[in-house]
Amino acid sequence: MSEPPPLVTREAVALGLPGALVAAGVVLVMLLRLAGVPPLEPPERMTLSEAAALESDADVVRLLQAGADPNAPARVRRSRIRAVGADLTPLEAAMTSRHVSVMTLLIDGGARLDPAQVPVLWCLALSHRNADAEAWLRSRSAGPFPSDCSRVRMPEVAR
Amino acid sequence: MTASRARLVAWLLAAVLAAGVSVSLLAIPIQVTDSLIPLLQAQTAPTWRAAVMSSADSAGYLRPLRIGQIQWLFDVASGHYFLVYKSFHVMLVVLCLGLFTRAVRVRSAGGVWALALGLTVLTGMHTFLGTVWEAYPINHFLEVVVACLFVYVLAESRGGWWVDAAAAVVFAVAALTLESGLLVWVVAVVAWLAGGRGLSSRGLMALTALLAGYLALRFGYFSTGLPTLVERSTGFGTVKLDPVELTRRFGDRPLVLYGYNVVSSVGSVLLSQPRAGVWTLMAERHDGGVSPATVMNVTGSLLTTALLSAWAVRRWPRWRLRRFEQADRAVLVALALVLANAVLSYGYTKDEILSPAGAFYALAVTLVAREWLERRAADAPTVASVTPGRLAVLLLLAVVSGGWAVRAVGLHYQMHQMAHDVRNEWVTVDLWLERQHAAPTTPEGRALVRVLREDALARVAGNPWGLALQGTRVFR
Repeated sequence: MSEPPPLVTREAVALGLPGALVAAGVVLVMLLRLAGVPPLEPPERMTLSEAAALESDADVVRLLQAGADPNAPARVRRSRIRAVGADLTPLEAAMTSRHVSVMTLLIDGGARLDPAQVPVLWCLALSHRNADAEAWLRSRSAGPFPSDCSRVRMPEVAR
Repeated sequence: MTASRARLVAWLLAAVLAAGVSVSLLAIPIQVTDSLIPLLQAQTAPTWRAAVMSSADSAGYLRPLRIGQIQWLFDVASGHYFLVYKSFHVMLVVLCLGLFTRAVRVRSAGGVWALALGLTVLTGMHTFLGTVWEAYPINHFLEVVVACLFVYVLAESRGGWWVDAAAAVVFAVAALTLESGLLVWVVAVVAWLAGGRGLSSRGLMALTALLAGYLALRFGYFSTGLPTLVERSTGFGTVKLDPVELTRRFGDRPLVLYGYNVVSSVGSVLLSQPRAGVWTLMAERHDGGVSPATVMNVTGSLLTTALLSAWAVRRWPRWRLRRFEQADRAVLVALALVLANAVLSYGYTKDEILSPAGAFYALAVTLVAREWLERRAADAPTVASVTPGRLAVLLLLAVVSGGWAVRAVGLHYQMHQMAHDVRNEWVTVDLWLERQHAAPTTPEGRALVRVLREDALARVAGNPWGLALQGTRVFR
């Protein structure tokens, strides 16, 4: 007497299981959302410096509108720019990540290019050989633009 | 598993995946490019009729209902633009996956597993991405996919006068929305020729009469002509060419470009290469290394197309005798749609233009897989032991389905990347409008831009750091 046909063949599982796992993943993500755990990192953990480092223009504008200080150093967590984290001003973060467009947004939002900040930014631009950033700085500031950066206190993350 | 339980599981599966796509879709703000200017135009249109008529005789195209729909939703929105346009988009996604599931007609456990594969092929296909990650501000390509699937489901139904009437209405709306809407006629005709009798011969004649009417209206009454080389950029070889370069290279021999576009479009659906006319496989190799995403896409498509080809070869003797089953019809409609869709893309080729062909490719894969799995289950008297040969087959199947599952996950990655990019576009929207010579001159226009900008910036998409992790090498 022959046995009844199998309910599910191995071939069926091999073909359909990945798709079923995708569906299970969707369910899991939605359950996490309902529980208040977003699948991507919660945006409130992002500082203005981090938004600048990640070239997230919209978050830069959002955080500035929400009252974030465009001149205050803030934490940029590890692996956002380099393997280690660092405390950077938003302008330093943008320059370290080579995002000139974000720097313009920050200036428009109240960031200052004061004589203490400019040499740091200038040396960051030089170290990255970022001609656009050099030109941008020269057009926005009277300097100083040191030729010897060894005497400039650079952020640790840029070394 | 009983047939009713299998159907229930199938619908649950489709609902879950549709919900997932919808959630990712809702993370994307209304776009600046492609959406803002149509919305500003909708705001200044005096009436719905005026908006439709103003677009009816534009050069190269006849798309009055495209503008009509944008205008209609704008009027309905009364300020709630994101809610209305995105709800409409979500509705299209639900309809697409729902009609796809209905077309598969799951009746067994094998059907459920085949549908699980098919839904990942549908949503993981690069041609689907363009239907969900952008809108103009309605995604008309997705509307055409829905129209084609709807008429296919009608062709597989028991028929009736209302089936013929519904098909005629859907065809008319689709054709007057986008040129790709003409593919609805192809679906109806090929399904009928392959034995689908949901649509009657009278209904088919009505569709053909409407097609003739469309051609007369477009080329006779409105004399819109056809798009020219200067319309759009398109890929050729390993690069994308702008209209100036296209005219320089192909101005005196456009048929070369048109032929290339048609062949490229067929290859894009069946092999995932080229993409929008560009052989990214070669381009990446030239630039220093082929990405894992491209390797996976091409391998998955090659194997799946091989599966369909094997089916076609095996069934050819029956087809010659005009004996068709449901899976045969799906394969034949898919094949016809790939060719017809490619011909319609002669002027320029983009992934989303091929979305109807992509959807029916997925449908054909699903139905062939369902047939094969059901026969396999019925033919196997016992659970066979795993021989080396069978193990190899199982591994191959797992590679195929695993690759498509990764592509389906990639859809969400790319949609969230798009959400991030679109939000950033809104930051410099005024500059963009100036460059387009489309800056609003009225207080109402400026207010519309401000409202949409604030909405986009407030729609936090999550930390982009999570998106930056090598994802573009895995998902394309």
